[in-house]
Amino acid sequence: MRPNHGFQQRCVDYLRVHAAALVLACAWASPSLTQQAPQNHPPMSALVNVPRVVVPDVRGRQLTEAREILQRAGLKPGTMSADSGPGIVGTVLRQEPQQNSVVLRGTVFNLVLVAPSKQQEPGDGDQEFSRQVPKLTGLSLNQASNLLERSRLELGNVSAGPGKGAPGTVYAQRPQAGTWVKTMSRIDVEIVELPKSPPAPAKVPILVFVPNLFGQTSKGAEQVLIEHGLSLGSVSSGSASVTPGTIFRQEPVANSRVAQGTQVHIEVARPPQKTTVAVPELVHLDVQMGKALLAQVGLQLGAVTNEESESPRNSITAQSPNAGTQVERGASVDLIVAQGIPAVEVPSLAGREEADAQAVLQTVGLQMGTVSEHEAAASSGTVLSQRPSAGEHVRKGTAVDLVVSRQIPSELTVMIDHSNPQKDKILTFHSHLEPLQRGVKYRFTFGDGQATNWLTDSKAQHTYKKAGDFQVQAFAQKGDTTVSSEMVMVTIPGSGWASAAGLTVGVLALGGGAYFYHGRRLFQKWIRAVPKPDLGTPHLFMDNESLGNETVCIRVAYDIGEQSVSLTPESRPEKEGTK
Amino acid sequence: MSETMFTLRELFEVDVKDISVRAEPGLDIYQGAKKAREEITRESRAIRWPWVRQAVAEETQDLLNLNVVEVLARAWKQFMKLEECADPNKHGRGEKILVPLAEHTLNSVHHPSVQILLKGREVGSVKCDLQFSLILEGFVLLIQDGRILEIQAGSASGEGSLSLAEISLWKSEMKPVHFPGRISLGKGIPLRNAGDSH
Repeated sequence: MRPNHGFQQRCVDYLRVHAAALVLACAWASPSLTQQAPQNHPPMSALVNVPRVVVPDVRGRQLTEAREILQRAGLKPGTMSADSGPGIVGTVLRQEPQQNSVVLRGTVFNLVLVAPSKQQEPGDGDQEFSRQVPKLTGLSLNQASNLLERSRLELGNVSAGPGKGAPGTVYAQRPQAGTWVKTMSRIDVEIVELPKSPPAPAKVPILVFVPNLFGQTSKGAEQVLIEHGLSLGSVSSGSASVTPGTIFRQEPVANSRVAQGTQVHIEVARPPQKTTVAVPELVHLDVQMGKALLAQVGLQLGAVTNEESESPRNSITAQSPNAGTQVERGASVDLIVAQGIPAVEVPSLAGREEADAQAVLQTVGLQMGTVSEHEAAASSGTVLSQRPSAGEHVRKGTAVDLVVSRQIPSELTVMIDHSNPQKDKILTFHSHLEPLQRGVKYRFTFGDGQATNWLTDSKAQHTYKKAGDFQVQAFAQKGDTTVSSEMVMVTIPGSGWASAAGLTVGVLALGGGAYFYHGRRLFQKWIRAVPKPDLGTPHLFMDNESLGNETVCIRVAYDIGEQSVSLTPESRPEKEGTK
Repeated sequence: MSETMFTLRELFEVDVKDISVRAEPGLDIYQGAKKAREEITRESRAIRWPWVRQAVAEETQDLLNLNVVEVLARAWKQFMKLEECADPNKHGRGEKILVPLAEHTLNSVHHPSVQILLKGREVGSVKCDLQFSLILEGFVLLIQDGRILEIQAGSASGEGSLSLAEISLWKSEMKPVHFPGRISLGKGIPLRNAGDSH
């Protein structure tokens, strides 16, 4: 067997790193295991008294592991060599003494490791840069060596340094990965050095007693622990029948001896859950919101009573118990919920008496609002208009304002439209009812024993057959109510009247009687016309004792106008002029 | 002034009732009437505007009681050169002169008003526009002692209108009408005014 110097060098480097293998590497210089074997056996004289052991089988194991096994079996490490053979490079290929053999305790064992196989001797063959250096970083030395061998390269110098990575793994290589090199070129690697384990200083822990923290608060306990050379660890809470907030458990337990600085974990009693809650304020809230609020505080919705209310529909108007009351958790709270006020259709009140209208309103659940008066022909107290209007839908209890009639007096006036009444001349009499009303019948008495029937027309004609003073009166009738005018005097002159006076009564305006259909008020006034020197000017005199005399005069004023005359074409020769 | 009354209302045979009916609502918007209304409302506690309004409206009927004869006489005196008929040197006292008038057209424009007086003071006035035109044919005047004593009527046609502001109160046409006989003017209408030197 020929020694392999290259491989020997690699092993030297390897064993330089592995301190445990360093001793074995020293024996590597011996030429053959077989030559050294006899020297390893103890002398025969000593065999009798020395215990024997069975040599374990360490083939295929890593060197370190094999050494440990053999040493435990009572054998002593001897030489180590390498030879080509099957198996993983670096593992035990053969062992001496052989496996399962019985030897004396203390016998030296020699190991032959699997050496890398050599397909080609160095120096012959390919000298071209045909090999690319593989990436070796991160691999263990064995793995790197195997990879290089498969790449027909060789592991070069191995050095250790403070590189990054797991100890014993390659953190640098030279040449770099990817470099093209010649076959069997040597690749130097640097591996991460093993952590230096400095000699641990002899520690002499100071032991202290753990104080009893039971019943203390976490804050107080922390102070106590500091005083005892300890520190506060985790603080958790739990249920316990102790005062809430006090410690009921600790770890390590009290009075145990622990190293100074040890953390003591404590558990504090959690405050008991309240059994009573305050009823929240629910009034004005929507019922759904109130229900949610009750659930939130741990209460239940009790009886819900609907009630007509002006509050918004579905809003809570009352609650029981009241807000702020302390009740047991889970208790029920009764609610009263607004259902709004039902709408009422406003009845039509127009034409009704005020009292009647009020009764109608009360019947449907409405109220009488303000009542204002307005002058009208309708009987006093008769409803003229209302607000809200009939047919509108309003809330129950709404006030309805009314406008009722304040009947103005019906006033009947009789007039004659002839400025120069004469005997045997047809005279036209007019009557006027203020305010105007429909369906009124009129009647005239002329003072000479003649009278008309009830007429639908407000005027009548009459002819006096003789001269004299005649009292004319008009009547207006509607239903069972009759209004009469004041009597007015009509003077029918004798034969000399017309030429003597030339003037006469243009218009006799007459008195008006005032009459309220229901007799609530009595109002009297009259208008009379008196002749005046200026013909055609009627004078209306208002005589009223309480108001004094007031006169309105209405006068027609003519003008002479502007005239122009033009001749027709046929008359042109005689044209006189135009203006 | 002629004692003979022949009014526009009679000439056009106007139904005056319609006039007052049309006039009454117009009075509420007529500025002069509104002024009167305010005055009456403010100063009178007893008199109500509706009474006055109705009375004013009815008075507008009287605006057509214009004496047409006076208008005619005034126009003829002015435009028909009748002065020589009044010359006593040419026509002796008691001489009757018949003056036939050529066919002519008379236009007359008036602005009569209805005045409203409260306690003697005018508080408002309703001014109307009245105009009429007549085509006169075959009229003969009888003149004596410088006065038109009689109109021997011919035939007349024409049209007329009365309005209050923008409101038409009356408007009508008159078809040719023959005036039979004669229209006496009583003492007659003097051809010369009192101040004339003739």
